[in-house]
Amino acid sequence: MLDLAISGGTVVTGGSAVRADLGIAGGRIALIAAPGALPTDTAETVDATGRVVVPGGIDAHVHFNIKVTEAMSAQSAVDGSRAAAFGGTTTFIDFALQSGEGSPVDAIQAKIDELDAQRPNVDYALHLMLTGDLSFEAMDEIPEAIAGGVSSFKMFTTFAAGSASGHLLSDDGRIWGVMERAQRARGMVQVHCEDDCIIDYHVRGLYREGRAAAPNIHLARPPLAEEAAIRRMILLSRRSGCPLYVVHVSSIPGVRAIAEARRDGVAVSGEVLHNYLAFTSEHYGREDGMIFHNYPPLKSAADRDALWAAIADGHLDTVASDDFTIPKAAKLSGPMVDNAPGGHNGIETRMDVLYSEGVTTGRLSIERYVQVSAENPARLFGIYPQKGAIAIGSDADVVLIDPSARATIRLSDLHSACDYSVWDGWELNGRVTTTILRGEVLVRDGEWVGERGIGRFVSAGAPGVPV
Amino acid sequence: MEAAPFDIVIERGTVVTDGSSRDAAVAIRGGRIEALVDPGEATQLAAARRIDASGRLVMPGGVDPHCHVGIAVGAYTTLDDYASASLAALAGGTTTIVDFAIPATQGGDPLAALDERLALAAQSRCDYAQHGCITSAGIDVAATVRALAERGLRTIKLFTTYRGILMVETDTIEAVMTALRDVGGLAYVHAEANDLVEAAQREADAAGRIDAGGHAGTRPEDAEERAVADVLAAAERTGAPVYFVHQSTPGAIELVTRARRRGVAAFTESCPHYLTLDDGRYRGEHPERYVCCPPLRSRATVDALADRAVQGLVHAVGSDNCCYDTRQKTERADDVREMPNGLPGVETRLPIVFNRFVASGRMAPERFVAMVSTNPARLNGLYPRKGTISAGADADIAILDPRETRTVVIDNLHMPTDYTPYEGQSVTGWPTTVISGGVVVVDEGRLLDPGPVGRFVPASPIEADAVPSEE
Repeated sequence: MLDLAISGGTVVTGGSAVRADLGIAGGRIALIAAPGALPTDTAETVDATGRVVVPGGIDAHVHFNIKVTEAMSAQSAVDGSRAAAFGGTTTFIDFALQSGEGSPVDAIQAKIDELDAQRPNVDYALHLMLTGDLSFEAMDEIPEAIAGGVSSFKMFTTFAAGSASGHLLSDDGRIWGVMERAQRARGMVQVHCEDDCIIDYHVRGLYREGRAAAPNIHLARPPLAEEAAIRRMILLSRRSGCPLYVVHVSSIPGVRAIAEARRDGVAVSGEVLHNYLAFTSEHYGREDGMIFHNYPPLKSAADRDALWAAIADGHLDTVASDDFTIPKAAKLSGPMVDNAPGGHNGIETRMDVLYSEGVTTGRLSIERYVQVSAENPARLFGIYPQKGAIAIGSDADVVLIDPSARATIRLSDLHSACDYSVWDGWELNGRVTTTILRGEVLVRDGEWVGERGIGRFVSAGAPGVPV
Repeated sequence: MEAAPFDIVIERGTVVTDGSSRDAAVAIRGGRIEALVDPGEATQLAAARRIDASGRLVMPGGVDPHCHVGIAVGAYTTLDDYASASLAALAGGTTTIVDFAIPATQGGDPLAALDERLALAAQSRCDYAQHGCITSAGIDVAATVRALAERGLRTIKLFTTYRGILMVETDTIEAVMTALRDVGGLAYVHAEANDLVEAAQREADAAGRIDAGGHAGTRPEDAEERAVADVLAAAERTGAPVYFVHQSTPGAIELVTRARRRGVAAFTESCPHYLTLDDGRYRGEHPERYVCCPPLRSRATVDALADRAVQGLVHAVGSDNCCYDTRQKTERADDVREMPNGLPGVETRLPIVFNRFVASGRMAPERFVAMVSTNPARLNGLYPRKGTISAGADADIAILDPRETRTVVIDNLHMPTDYTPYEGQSVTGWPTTVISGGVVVVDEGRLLDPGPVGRFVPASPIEADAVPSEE
């Protein structure tokens, strides 16, 4: 007997959208059947008539619980994962944080303990952030981290000691050391690519000219800074053979650098954030415009359009949120180009905005939507096909989208612990209505109906290749 | 599960489709795939027939994008008809063949050619589709393309060679491409620069090497690559997609790959013989048996071509089936300009490719399935009815035993000819059970003629990004 049936919908499975019913047993997809062919003995049925049925979203870039300062404390995994479920995301990938002399393996265990104690509402996997003047001893723990189910390592080319974000920057030698070790142990490295020296020059120049107010932050961190760092990281990836994932690509030169390297056979992939697909640096000039800011800063309309083209044509691979949700007052607390807080309150809106602005407008096929929102993050971070696919044996993480829904996002309707949203007032054409995690209906027609706190750690295997 | 029983349930196999492999059962009813089922649930499915696919790959039936049936060229006509060609296809795990409606004379009416093909195809045992063919600028190209599309043909074959029979000039190619672009169609191009071919033939003739043994020298690699470059330029000018049939050199593939990087929707087909057999055959006892166009290439070229396939740069593998026998091949073996070109191969396509790439450990079975089934289905507008194992698709399935090793012997094959280019080769990986339209047509190695049940499958518009980038 099936635990749950999802019938009458159009299902994106195996690379195409087909009319099919789904059967779920034991939390996994047990049956994919032509309409009407499902058996009748089912405990529960979700009517998906008129709905598009896609794999639950995977947000590969979120920061929960992290405390940069007392004021800049990110929302908890409980709040963030509740928002995730309402927005059609069934797996988030957060970051364990190694810093100073700390042990990476201990940092991972501490993060798992913290998240499990909070009981998140959706499943999660982890990356490990390696920061600052990382020691050889810390690097040598990489194989053990991978054996423990964390196979991707995040590093920074920016935020030197004393920055508002803390000391995150590691020099190229250390990044090389991590790549060498990750490559040997079948892991991968992801990098925040902005060149700190180029940024420092521009920041000092803006101060000198008296133009260092935060709304000029895109001038302080120009596309050149992104391109320079991406090209350096590509060189390290090429020479080490370690797969490279460039987080939050924001500029035309960045896209181009990645595309060129891929043509040469370098295993580099790239991520876009959905706020970069919607906003430009002109938003900084608005009242409280710095709520739109994230690192790297927003660029021009031409850059935004190029990012759309890149996810549509396969030059970039994933869409993530970089959720780092802090109170509005904290978000607006940095008045200058060198202390404006970053972060994006975005985990709940990612699937909806991408559907509405991507699929409804015709920029993305529904198949591509599934690839960039779920399948590719799962493949790249080693949790495919348990996650990221509607296929026999996969976890029954399923989301229903109503393509005909017309709605306006209101801050009061969102579920993060937050007093602002850059998405407040955004019009949606098509939106997520129902979210199912391992066969448990969490959200049905926009209402929470499921059990709370059933999210669990998903162990990552070797990184794969995006489609 | 108490619902009405299924016609067939295939259990305990590994389902390979759309880029992944799963342990799953496949339930079939009324000629369609009705369900994919978790192995744990499958035991509860009631079925008239259960097939145990333990240790075998359950894949979508092969789609042969390039299969000539009973084709007359010059003085020779291939020996198969739709009954025999489709049975041979089924025996080899191919459940859909795509033939060519080529006008009998240069400039002939493509629609009349289609009528003739469809009349013959009434005898087909498997489903089939057709490519149109335009051989002259002297017709209303746009109207013809639209009329063919209305009849379910969205692929049109064009030749840059065979002057006076099939060849068209680049301006005609561009006109056809433009018209196809507007109906979601795709040009299928045989690219060999005719002037270079004719020059090489004249030279060979003067040197007394125009016989089958000299065949490789009469159609140089340069001729293929120059024509590919010309046609890619036309595709770039018109913004239309293009598919190259039977590419035989790594250089030709490189041109396609570079064009794809520039954003041209260009696709590569190759054939089993170009990926395995080399021009040493022309120095052997029966060079005429291996005469095809383009010719077999050097061992270095064959191996480099195979490397490209491993890298994912060969999108589709077609048989270019031409079922001549040794008598036909021998009669004018003294002059390759007069003798019939082409090799029989619709039946051996899957095993030869599986053996070369998957059995040898060089390629994942998912890529093999993409090359012989899914991509040809997509690039002919037949997906997802064909080329996939998914709910609602036609129940066309090949169950392939990856450990079955057989020696290829013509007497064990079903093509109506007396030879195969692979005679005596040991080949691992054979379809042992085949289901076509929900009917078991090969039952543990035994071919069962289902009668003339094959249907014409009209082509839907073809997506320019039908085949994902290999990057």
